[in-house]
Amino acid sequence: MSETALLQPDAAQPEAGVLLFGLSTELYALRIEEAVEAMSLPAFTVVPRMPGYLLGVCFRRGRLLPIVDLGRRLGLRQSFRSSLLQAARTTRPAVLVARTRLGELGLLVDRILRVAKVPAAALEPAAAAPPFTLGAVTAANVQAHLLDLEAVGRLEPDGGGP
Amino acid sequence: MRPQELSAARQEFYSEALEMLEQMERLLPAMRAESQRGDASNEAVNGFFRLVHSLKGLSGMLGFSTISFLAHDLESLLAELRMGRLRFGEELAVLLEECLAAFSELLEAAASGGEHAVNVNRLLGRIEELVSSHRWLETLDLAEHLELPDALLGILTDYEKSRLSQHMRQGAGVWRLQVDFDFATFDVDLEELAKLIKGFGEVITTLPSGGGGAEDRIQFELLAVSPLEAAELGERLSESGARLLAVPYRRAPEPAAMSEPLAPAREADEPPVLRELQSVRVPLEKIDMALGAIGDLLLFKTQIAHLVDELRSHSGLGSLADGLVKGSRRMEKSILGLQDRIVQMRMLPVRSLFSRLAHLAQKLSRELGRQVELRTRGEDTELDKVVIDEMTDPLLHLVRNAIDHGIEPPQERERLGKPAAGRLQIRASHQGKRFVIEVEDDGRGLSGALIRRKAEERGLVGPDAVLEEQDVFGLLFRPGFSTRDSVTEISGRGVGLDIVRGQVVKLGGAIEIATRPGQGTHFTIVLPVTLAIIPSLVVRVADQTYAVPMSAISRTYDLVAGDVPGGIFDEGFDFEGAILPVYRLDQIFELEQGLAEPPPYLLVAHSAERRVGFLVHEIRGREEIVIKPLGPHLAQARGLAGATELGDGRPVLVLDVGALVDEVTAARAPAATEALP
Repeated sequence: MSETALLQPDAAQPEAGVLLFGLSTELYALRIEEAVEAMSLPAFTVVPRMPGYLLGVCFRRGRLLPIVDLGRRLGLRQSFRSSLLQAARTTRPAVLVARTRLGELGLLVDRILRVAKVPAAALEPAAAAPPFTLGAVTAANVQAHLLDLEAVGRLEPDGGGP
Repeated sequence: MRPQELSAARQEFYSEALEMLEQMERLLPAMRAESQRGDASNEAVNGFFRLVHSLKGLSGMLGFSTISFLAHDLESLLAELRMGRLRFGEELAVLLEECLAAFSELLEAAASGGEHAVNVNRLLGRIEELVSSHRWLETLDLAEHLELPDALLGILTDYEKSRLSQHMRQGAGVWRLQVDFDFATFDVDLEELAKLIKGFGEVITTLPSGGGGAEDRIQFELLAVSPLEAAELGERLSESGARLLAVPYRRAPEPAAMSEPLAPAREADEPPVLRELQSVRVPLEKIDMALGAIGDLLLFKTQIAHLVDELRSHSGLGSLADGLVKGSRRMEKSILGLQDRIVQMRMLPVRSLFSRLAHLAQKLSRELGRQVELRTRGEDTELDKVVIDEMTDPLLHLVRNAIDHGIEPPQERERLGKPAAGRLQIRASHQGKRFVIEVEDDGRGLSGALIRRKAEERGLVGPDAVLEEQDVFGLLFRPGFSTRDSVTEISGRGVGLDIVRGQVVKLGGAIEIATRPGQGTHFTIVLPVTLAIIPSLVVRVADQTYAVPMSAISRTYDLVAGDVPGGIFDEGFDFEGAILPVYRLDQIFELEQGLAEPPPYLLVAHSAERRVGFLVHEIRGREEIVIKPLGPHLAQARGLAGATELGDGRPVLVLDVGALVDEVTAARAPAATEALP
């Protein structure tokens, strides 16, 4: 299937929405149904004995919201920590509030880009995908990793992750 | 109901109620005859009961509260009669006739709009008295009903009272012992006397009494319990020279005290129709939101305090500042009152929980071929809805244990000279701000020696360990104490008790067990009445702020001031005669910033019977907090009960002290005393 074919809107083909966001030099996509809202980084509290990728918890509308540092969760921070990439992070970091089966989860991302349409079939999980992703999708002419939100949301106590 | 409809309904009520009264009157002689014949069918009593019940519902619905109250009380009296717990004697017959007379008087007064002009308090009091007279021995606090000087009763601690009540429930007598000892040796003498009594009873409390006597002698009064008869007790104590005085019960509890809950608490007993008219259902979440808003209001108080400081620094504005302080204090008081009322909304009577327990008891006794006589008490006691929900499974578990493993099959019981039906008692009561629930059976029970042997076999305790009785029973709550195969061998106690205890501790409570082989087992669970608002200490550990529920803290020490009375040793510190291990919270929580600075404050924390010390860097003060759950994502976070807000919008984590104590005692992590200042 070529890229142009994917971009042709087809009446017979149901469409789905994704939210594109950037993390280091990579692009990621979250199903639009899983996205609740975006906010700037709030005051948060560190939870002891939880892995470093759990930034902490904050209050959102009177409830506790755990915030995951997605860059560390995905192992991007350690491998791509170069000045070049630091400079590339032009936008202020934002917290993307996502809806998981266990409840709402905050994701600290580098920049939130836009909402894009993709064919629904493109969101089917791929057989072999890198950890924490469900495969690759092409949206708005670019390729992004489809985030496996449920996997990201399974927090293990100490030493369970990077 | 529209006014016209209401008045029409009331017209109908008068004629209907009069009809009911006539029927009741006709049934009275039949009830008497039934009782004289020893007729167990209770046909007349049941008929009478149904009429009273209908009258109660009808009058309540139409707003005739006095008639409804009287009917309600009469109904509970008749319930006792139906159950055969009360005999139809002359006193009862007279009382019933007077009630009927009062009803017709009330109806007449109500018809002319003045139901309240008729005073039925005396009648209500007599009903209560009769209902309670035959079962008052089981009332909440037996100690209160002893003929003791108020001065003595007043100084008894809750624990002493509960020990006293517990012994009394088991049939022990209460005694006052007067002794006088030589001034030089009285401490040894007292100790010996206590040891002597321990053989056949227990000393509840000891008081020096100012009474005369020689100058070099000192008089004491001991309050003791013992199941022994006076003569035998006198003989055993003859050498000590103690004078023995039996402490009788006061007359049955004052009717006033018993009739107190007559007022709104009775709503729970009334037919559902009536309740729906007077209440709305509110989701717990909304109540908690209201509580959260109250928390915010209280935070403004802090802001006002800052403002006051600022005002004071400007000359000439001092009086303005004072006025502001006064105003904010008044505001705080009303906010706290409002908070109390909102917390009340989370409270429910434990009645529905009790009926679930009764249902299970019935079902199990059928399935297992046991005869069980279930007695419940305190169904109207109110408890936080969340606590009720969380305690349901543990209590079902205790009831299941009692019937499955505690109460013997009827044949076995008869062989043992026990009544064929085992008795299972479930009692709920309030003791101050705590809620107490007891589950007691008269089944097999357990011996301490057996528990200990099993624990040794499972490696939970060394063969040389010296254990107090309560410690031995405490072994039953240890994880891994019981396995399925031990169930039959040790009468099954201990099955999943670690889980029951875990749940109780999680709710900030404690559980105790008392058991005697052949006599039964008695669980006492003490819980906070509400989880909504928790008095807490706010502490700093390294650069983090935490809230610590006060319920888990016995006391605090400032180590820099050196106020630990027993002193600190390598292995821990001396607290009330026991050496408790000390741990640094910053190390437990792996907070790197804390390593350099030794924490100078010591919190003595407890989880059920276990106690340890935790070191923190600063104690910032006391706050009443509302706990928010951490949520399912953080279910794995250890040692935390939730989070709260203290003003800056950032969550402050609330420690789960029970879990932390369990964690450090289970791991037997090295104590941190080398880091002490």
